Amino acid sequence: MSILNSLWRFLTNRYIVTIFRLFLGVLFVWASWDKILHPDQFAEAISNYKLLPNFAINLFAVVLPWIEFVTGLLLISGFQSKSSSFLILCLLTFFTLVIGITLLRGLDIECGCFGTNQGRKIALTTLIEDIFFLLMALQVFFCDKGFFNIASLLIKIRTLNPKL
Amino acid sequence: MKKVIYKATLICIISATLGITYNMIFNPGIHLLSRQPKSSYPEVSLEEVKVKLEEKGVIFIDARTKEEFAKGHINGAINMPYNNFEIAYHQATPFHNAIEKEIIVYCGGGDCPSSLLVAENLTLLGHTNVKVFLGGWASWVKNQIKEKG
Repeated sequence: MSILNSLWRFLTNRYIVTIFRLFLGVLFVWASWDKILHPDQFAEAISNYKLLPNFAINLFAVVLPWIEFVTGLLLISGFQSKSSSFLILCLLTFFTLVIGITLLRGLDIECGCFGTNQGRKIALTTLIEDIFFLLMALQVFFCDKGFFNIASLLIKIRTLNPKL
Repeated sequence: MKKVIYKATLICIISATLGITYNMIFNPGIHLLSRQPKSSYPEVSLEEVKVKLEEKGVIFIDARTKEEFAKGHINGAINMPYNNFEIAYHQATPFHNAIEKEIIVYCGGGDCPSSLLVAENLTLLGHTNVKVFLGGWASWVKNQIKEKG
């Protein structure tokens, strides 16, 4: 029981939660960057999955990276972190399902996870990676209490310098 | 929880708006609701491809991946995948001093945009006679089955 307690305390430690939140934020901003700059190549990667209908692929390729980017920024700043971590949770659940389905179908395609032209094929390690990020997002969603976010920093600065 | 879902939806809407606006301004080539970008290159039909295959001097480019190319391709085609274009281009000897040669690019056919993207790259490199076979490999295979059957 004490081991479980220690584990629980470790996982809900505000520093650990903040590190996970910042990590996921940076990860998603970084992952979105190349896709925002090259939506045509990202659309190509999406079409290789053969999951979406044709008319939706380009729209998806344009919109998804921006959702990743904005959500990543929100996580980094800690602003609306509950909603943004919920969104990240939904995205990661979706990606995990898609990768799982693709592996079951035996498709040998590029992941397109962190951009295009990475030469990174979908493998079991990709699935494990996504599950790991999913668990991190779950932890942030349930345990983030607003420690070290932009709003609290601004309040602190205001308190220390009332003239501002 | 309702509030969280509501705010998450709002974030999605704002992000989508930003994405679509950015795309309209900086990436006008990608059409939002059309998988196949409009071709600004002369298109060749399946019948024309059959005729061109008999002619010497016409270069066929297969813009699909290396794995797809290995499974089957038009006789004599050179593989130039869009995501590995530069390396493949410089390795392809028929391209040396071939700026005016007729080039026909194809990919999977149907909703595949790779042929147009490769055609664009070739044009940027100075090739003046680039055409696309939009029917692609799918159309070619269908025709081969018809002829044999």
